[in-house]
Amino acid sequence: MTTTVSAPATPQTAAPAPGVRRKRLVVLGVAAWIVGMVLVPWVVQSDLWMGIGIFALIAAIGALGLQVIMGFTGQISMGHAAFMAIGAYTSAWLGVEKEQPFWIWLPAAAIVSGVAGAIFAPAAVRIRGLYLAVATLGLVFIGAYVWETWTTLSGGDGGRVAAPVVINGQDLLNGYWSGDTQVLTLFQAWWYFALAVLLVVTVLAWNIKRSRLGRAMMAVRDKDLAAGVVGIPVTRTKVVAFGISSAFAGVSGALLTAYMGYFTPSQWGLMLSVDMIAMVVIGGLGTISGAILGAFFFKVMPELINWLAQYLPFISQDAKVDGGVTAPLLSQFLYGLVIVLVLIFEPRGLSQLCRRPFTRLRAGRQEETR
Amino acid sequence: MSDSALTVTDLSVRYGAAATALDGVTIDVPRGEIVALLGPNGAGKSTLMRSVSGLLSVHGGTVTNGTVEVLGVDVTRMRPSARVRNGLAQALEGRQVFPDLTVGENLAAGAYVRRYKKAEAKEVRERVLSHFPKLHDLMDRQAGYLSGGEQQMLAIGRAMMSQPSVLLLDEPSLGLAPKIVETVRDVILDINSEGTSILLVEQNAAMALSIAQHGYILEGGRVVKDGPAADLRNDDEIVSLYLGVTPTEGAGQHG
Repeated sequence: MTTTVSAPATPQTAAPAPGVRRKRLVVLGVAAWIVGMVLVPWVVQSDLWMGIGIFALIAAIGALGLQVIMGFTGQISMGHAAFMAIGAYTSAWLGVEKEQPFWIWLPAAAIVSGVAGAIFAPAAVRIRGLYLAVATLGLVFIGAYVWETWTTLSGGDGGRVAAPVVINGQDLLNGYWSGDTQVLTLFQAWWYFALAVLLVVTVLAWNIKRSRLGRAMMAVRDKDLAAGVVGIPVTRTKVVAFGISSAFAGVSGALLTAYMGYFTPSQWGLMLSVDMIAMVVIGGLGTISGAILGAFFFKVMPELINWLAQYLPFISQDAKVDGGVTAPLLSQFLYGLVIVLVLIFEPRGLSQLCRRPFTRLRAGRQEETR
Repeated sequence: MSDSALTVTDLSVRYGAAATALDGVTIDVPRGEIVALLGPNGAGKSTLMRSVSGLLSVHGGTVTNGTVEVLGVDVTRMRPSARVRNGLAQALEGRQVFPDLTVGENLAAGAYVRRYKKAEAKEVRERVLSHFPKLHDLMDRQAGYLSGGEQQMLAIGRAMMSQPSVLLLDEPSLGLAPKIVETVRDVILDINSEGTSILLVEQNAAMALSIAQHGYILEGGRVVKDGPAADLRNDDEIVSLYLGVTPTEGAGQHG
């Protein structure tokens, strides 16, 4: 203590470099986020909200996948729903028909979807922009046809059961028990399971972004001609990006169905792809936090507005035959409005919006030191 | 095996079915030298650069005849990234830095084909940055927010990260203030003095000929004149055509 006081405090030791300070802020933020997420099941007591939260965690995994192809590599993909479906059917087949545990079917869903993405990619990387959007859009419809006709796998219109997540001989959909006492409810158990998978996927995405591969993706996104000229194999980079993106989508699809327990071919429609795109755009393209924030915003916001609507006058909770504004209707309006507002005031998405106070703070500090 | 860093032999290029952009062009960049490529707009300078760097097909052009060799290796049919692996690097016209990446990330992207180990990467980066001391303080800055001169430095630095034998520079002085052009000129000389051969395409003929050993004049897709830079500087026709007025006002960029 005394030695530190007597030592002359040079500006360098007193205030770390901006880069270091920023890194600390990031580490602190991530730590706070993880702690917060772990505590959620003990704070949120409502089954409804826990269910929404679990859907958001699972959606975030898919959104991170889309972030790899759209945010990092700059290639639009409307076909995410198809890859989620491939993951879902892979997991269901392995988990139910073949009775494999989740640590087999979950990675398998990633691999099969990833390979499917990489097989499709060579056709897709030749085109860009709207043409790519249309081509990937086609995937969704091809997928829909396959799921509806391949009834032995999909169960046809009636759907099929999904793979169960069994840990220590216990299906998580029954909660987690120790003897006769329930340690975790269904929602708590699933929250932790989905959170664990999301954390793994997040770490992967984070590492990809900072790696040689990630830089190559972002170089292709920024200037694909220049990327080729500096030695980045543009086509191969896009193919790998498609593969990784699809693999994440596959995991998301597998988890989604496992949580629901039962699924039909009709849920892998175009709207699912559009929802995913909305998540990464609202959250912020090209950032890890954007995908996660976007997923939560997308899942929580409509319910929140729905819930708020009951405190507003002139709004009926349920649909009425004589018209008038109902809560779900208003919720849709407001939800659309919020998206428009976010995109008007911060086109770089929610993740930038959340960073604003910190960038302001930092800018202020730099002004002071000058 | 050869003492040429870059050889273009009898190269003919066509865009689509009709226009012949290059017609039997032969150019040689000896090891360790700077060679200037001059010519009016539409002479085929950019086409030649694209054929060398491998971007021709992107622009809808095809090589109908001839070869491009880097250090004696035929790269005529190679993809751009494969050419970089063979020792070629290019700073594209209009700089073309990756705007959303930081300066450091831009440089790292330039080292993609080399797969440096961490320490090695740092060493190469330091060596490259020694040519551009200014970039040192801008490492965490987004490249899109740099000034034109800084972006040009970054584009050249990014190309140098693969430690190329041959560096193609396409209009490095375009749109830069005279004082910055001076700096760019010094950097080119500096890089060349460490052994990198350079093919320099320039509108600013005075600058190009002042640092090149050899020059080629391209017109209508053919080499109409070539010789030691010193001779070209004193050639009446060239003086009146290219050196009469100092820097062009960055006229058209396609040629």
